[in-house]
Amino acid sequence: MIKTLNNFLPKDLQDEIESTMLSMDFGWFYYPSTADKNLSHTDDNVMDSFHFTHTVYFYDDGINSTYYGLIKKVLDCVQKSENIKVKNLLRIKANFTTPQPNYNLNNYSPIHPDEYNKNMYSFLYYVNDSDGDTRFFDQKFKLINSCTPKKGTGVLFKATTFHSGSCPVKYDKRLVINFVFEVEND
Amino acid sequence: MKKIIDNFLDVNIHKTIESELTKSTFPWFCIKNITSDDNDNFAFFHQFVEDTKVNSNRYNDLVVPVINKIITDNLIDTKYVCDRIKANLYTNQGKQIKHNFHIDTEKKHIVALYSVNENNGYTKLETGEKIESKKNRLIIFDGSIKHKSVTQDNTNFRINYNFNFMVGDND
Repeated sequence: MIKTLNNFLPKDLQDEIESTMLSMDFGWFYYPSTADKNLSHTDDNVMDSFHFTHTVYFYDDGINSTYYGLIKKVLDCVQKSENIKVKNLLRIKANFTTPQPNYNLNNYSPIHPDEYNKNMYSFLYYVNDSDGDTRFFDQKFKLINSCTPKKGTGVLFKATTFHSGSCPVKYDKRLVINFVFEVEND
Repeated sequence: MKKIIDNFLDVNIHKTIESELTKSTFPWFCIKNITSDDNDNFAFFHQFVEDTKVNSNRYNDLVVPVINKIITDNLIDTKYVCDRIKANLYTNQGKQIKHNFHIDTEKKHIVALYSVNENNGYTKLETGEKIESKKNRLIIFDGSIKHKSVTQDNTNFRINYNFNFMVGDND
């Protein structure tokens, strides 16, 4: 199940989230690579990259950001749009990637699932327009779907689905928020 | 007036600073316009001191060693106080991006730039000098000289500290 959500978030909220995450008050933390190499798959198109993250919520630690209230509104709108209820929130993390040397539109980051628990869902929210597509793969790592980041849209999928982000090539930044959660009555 | 001092800090202190700045516990903040004329560029920064006030809980371990060395080596006249200190981080965008010439403030001031990591980015002064980003290098110049930064394309990031020293209020 891979479902793109359009028009689920009010425009003023889309703008507020984008401007907040690009403001001089929103902290970003440098990571030299994107995925745990031990838990991810690689192929000829995979190129790892540095990026910046901002953990908003993590199950073990709880709320980790003063922007939790704002960013949680995205998940509220997903629940309303899809008529689901989040039972268990595992994490919310924002990722900021930038162009990388020798990186082209065919490249992507190591292929990984967000979780191995089949009851978990992932929602990837695209904060800004960009060109770093998210690719989805089957169990044999064959490409089955892809989404181009478009501000205000997102993609909902089972957290066990193999997928991969990528760095922007023509755009100078790509901002996404990754929500991982369990829903009631799934 | 311009000074370039290589191997400025003790090697171990420099290594600690370089390492701490790229740990996943150190916050960076996005700035969209690097100079007032640069509308399309962005970088990351961390403000250690703003208007002479410490603005970061990492000031003591990551900045004080640099300040102390500047003072003990008498590199800047004691009539100056440190008004602003920030770290800049430029990401590798696959090409070298030239920002615009600018001055940091209209007030009389001295600029010190401390280069944290080695890369092929550089600082260009309007007077013509090109100062390479050599790790552990400090450069000092009169703040009235227009300057610009040029990003790197051979390392993930270019990190430097930018100090603005101004004449104190009681001068």
